[in-house]
Amino acid sequence: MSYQKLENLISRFPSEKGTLERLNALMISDISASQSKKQQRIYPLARLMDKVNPNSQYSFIEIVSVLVEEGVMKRILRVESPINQIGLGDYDAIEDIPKSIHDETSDEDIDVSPENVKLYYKFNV
Amino acid sequence: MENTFATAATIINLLSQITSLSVVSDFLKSKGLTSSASGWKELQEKRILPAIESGNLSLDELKNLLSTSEEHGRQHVFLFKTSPETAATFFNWDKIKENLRKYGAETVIDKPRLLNEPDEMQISEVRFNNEYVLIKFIETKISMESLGTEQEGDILKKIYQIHKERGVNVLKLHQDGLLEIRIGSHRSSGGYVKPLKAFTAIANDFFTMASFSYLSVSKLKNNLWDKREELEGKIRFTNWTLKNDFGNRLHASSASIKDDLRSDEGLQSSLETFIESDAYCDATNLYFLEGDEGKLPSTEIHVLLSGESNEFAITKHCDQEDYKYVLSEIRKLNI
Repeated sequence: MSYQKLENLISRFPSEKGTLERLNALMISDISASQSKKQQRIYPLARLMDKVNPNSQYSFIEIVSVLVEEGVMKRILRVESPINQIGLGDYDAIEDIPKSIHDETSDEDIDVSPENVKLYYKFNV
Repeated sequence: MENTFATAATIINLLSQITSLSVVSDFLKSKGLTSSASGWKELQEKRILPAIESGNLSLDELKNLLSTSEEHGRQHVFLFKTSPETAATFFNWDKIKENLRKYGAETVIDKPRLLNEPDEMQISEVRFNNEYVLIKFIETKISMESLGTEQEGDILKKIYQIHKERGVNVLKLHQDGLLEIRIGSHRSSGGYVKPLKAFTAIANDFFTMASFSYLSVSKLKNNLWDKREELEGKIRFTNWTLKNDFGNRLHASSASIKDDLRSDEGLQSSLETFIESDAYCDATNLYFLEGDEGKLPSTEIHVLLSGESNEFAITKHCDQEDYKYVLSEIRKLNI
């Protein structure tokens, strides 16, 4: 993220200065990785927390919300196959998720339930 | 006495669903009572009811046995943490009593309630001492078993058998700041996010959940992988799911739930290669092996590590000491 954005966030969440610096470093690493690989890194919230080790989980959730609002990060709702957890479709909002989806890997239609939907975050690169 | 016998029969029926005959026999033996029986009916009619009638066994002692047996295992456990200082603020008996009254459970202040399959979740017991606060809830879990279909003309009906199962949910706050939210397992699919959300709302009345952060078990999962050879003889594994940050997964399963994945070198080698390319352990099924020569655990304990990041499950009922052992090992390995 831009230097100014990072500074703004640090002034808003001063106790998470270290967290924000680590998040920024992670973003830089992801940009670099996405240029060499065909996939981009995506993170469940818990995995993001493991990587950047925030002081407060609640502040971190707020930080991530701000980053999503500002377009630095993107929120992904992924429907995963109940059989092998492969991603079947990514959606921006809950209301976009279909009630039923075809699982190509098993050639079956599946009813989409909350346990098939996983929330991930990625940096907008 | 008839009422006492009816209550005792209810307790014995509930015990038969959650523990073994030998556990109850051992309990009777520990009280110096005749304990041998070939089945639950005999145990009830020839051992327990006569002991109650003669005054050698009280209903409260039987209730206490049920209480310690029912609240361990066959649950999904979600771990939260706070500081010991914050935890101490919730060791407030007056506040707890106020909440018990709010939930219409003031009678449990004096003694636990025996609840079988209540229509709605109710508080059955509260325990409060220097080490922990425990609040227990009993609910009836409903699941549906598909029996097939019936067709009448153009109408196709699906038929389900409704099953009811008694579920035991527990809130336990330790004085060191660990909060266990234990939710009774259910047979149907659907995960535990919804029940956890509902139960956390109740927990909030007693413990102000904003004071707690969730205690991730990701270190536990990675330590179980890193120390898997060291843990031989203590733990066996039947499956692993490794994942990397691109969302790619590697699943490995043994041929049966009785096996140990470590015996397949080829499989281990594949998992190691994936881990070395910055993957991490996302889920595993493991079994704590029965302890040697009277050591814990008293029997093999299956633990499921999947679902939420602060979740583990013990899939079968277990006794209090076995549960404490598993929780202690989980905490030690989660550092």
